[in-house]
Amino acid sequence: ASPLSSSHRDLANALAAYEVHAAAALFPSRGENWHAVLGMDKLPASAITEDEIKKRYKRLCLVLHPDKNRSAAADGAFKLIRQAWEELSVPTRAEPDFWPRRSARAAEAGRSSRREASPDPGEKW
Amino acid sequence: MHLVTLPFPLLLPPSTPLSPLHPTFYSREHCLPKLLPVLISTRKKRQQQQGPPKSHLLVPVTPSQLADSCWLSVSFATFYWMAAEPFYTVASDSETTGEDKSQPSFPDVAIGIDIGTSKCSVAVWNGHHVELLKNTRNQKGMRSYVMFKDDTLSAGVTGGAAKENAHEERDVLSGSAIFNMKRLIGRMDTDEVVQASKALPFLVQTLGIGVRPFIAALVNNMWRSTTPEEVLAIFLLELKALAEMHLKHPVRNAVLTIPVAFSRFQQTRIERACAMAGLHVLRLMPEPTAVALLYAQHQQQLMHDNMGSGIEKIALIFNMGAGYCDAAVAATAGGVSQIRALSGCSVGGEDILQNIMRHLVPNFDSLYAGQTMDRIKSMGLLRIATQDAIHKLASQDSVEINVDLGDGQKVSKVLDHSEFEQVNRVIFEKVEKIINQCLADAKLVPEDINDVILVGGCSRIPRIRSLVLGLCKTEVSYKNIDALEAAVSGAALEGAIASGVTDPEGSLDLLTIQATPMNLGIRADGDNFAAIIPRNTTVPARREMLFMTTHDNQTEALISVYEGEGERAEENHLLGYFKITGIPPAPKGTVEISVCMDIDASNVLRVFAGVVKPQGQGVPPFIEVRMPTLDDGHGWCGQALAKMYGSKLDLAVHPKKLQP
Repeated sequence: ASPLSSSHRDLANALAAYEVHAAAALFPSRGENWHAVLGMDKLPASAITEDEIKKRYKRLCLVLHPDKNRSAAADGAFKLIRQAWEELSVPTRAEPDFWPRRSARAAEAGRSSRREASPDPGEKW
Repeated sequence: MHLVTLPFPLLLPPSTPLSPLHPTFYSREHCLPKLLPVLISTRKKRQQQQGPPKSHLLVPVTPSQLADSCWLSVSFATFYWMAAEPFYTVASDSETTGEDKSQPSFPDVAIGIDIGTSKCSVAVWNGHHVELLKNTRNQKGMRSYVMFKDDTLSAGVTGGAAKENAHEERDVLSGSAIFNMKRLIGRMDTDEVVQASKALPFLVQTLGIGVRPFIAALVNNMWRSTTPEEVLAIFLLELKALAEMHLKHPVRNAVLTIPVAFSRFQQTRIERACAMAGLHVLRLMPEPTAVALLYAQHQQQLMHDNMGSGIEKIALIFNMGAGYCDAAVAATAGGVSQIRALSGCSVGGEDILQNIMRHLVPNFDSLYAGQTMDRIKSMGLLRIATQDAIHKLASQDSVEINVDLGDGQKVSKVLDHSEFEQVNRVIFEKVEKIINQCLADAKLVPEDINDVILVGGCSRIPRIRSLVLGLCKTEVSYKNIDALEAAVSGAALEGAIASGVTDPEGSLDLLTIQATPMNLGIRADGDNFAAIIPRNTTVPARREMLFMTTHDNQTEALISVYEGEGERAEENHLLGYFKITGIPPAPKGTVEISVCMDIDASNVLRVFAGVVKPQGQGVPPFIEVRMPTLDDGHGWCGQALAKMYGSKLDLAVHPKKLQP
């Protein structure tokens, strides 16, 4: 029974990954709906709290991270939920401005434009 | 004429598949004849299960050629028979088919290996928990060295049978053993770490031109050359045999821990050493992230036991061993450990040791300038005495050092904490720097840290402990983690997770979401470095950036990929380069070129580049390159390219930067 259950799990994992891709595939026609990527589009608006987003994101991480999910779609799906997380989560902490190195870097970022080139991923976790 | 695979030391250009440097070449039996009985029995079993052996590289070699090789004393018949099957998977093989994954009848769970500068350990997931393996001398942490003798090699795993520790250490320092290979691997001879390694008892010869250093061990009063990769491979081979003996089935996959400061080029060297030893690298994990995984498991267990709320906890992990020092900030909740920031540098116990040795013997460099037998012996005595003193200082206020170095040289000194700290001031400053950088990168203040985890041998030094705890404004460090076993346990956990093992009790419902330790980007805007994937980006990652041509009617563009922290391209490690050709002629700045970088879960970096504007049939197809592409002498390539092409093939960052 164990090989059977393991293939069942692989199948479920693959499905979860394709669901994420399917949600993202609708973006061109229906607009960017990052809640849908996290599988939250059917929820009533009142249920969409920051805690809920975090919970969903973490659960999806455990299912979709390529370490956990052998399907070929996992890699792309993980990147999508990561992006959804960056879009949806609000920074929980005000940036400490007394941190000397940090403010020096922020000033530098203002000067040389390429620092801002890519969104900082650590920012919103 | 006999058919055998080529013996170990034959040198051919690395590009030929028959060269010992080519990854497809090595099978584990090349190096260690004494392991054969164990391996043969497992091989027989596998052959019965798998049917006829696959083809393997076979080369006609005459017996005299083989006899020339001092490495081997195996009969030809055995050799031919062993050569019939490839013993390991090349990294790219695993991507081609799923065939290998479905076949093994034994549970193909990756083992965890921690190759430390000074000590190594290996751990396995035994189905219920992580188990550290012990060698025949009942050690979990085995001294990392390989002893070169006439016709035998012995690595620290098995060591010299039941010798006393002090005796073993003296042997290791006799010049016949190579150690500290983790500090030497993948470094050029201009590197300061390589320069510092010249104070080791074996031969480290540098020419200062940016090639790999020449290293050699003393065998019968002669220096015999080897390479760090070779030494590491021999060592890994013994670790692998230890695991195989314990598990009673062949081991193919491994998760290895590496320092945060390792460049991608150094990582390929580790992979090569593993390939030589017949191991497929499933993951290379920065050491503190392996500890983070173990911490995540602890947190989850606590939650199961107390029915806790599972709120996110922030841990700062500081790891300092003999060769490297790393820090990581990890946010852990529900078994998921997200690495928020990583930082590290190549400073460790070896530097502390050398500082103290130079302090004790002020004329150290002139005294040990040439490596004669006397000097090697005398330096060994000094090393042992100094090491002993540093260890004692961890628990006592001062230590008396009395050692006769021979040749009229005597050291007699009392060393206390303040003197020790004064001598190593620069090292403590570097430690402070990486902790501060890690906190700043994670955008945290010390008060946000819930737990401070100190691991690695040097975390026993009182000053290091008080420094790290002070920076994190905490009194005590996290207690439930063993400083020397944490990294390897984490690696074994990751090995089980990445091999797809699940545990009915849920103790493997864990995950470490890795981050990149260094900026990855290309040279643009003259000699500047444009970071496409900034450091501490979550892996897997894919980032894209737009560039434009800098000359009218420019038809070719050079993409030079760098990794590092420098503002200017040349301050970073060059990973590789390629050209985009056939760009449609147009005024400068009007052609848009997209460069996309992708890192997958196994940390493989691919760079995609091509023209995105104008579009149509007239533009060349995109190019995909797997990095790094460079081999030895990579320090030169950047200069050579600049000399050859100047700014002719340059690109500039497009104001739009990201594709709409």
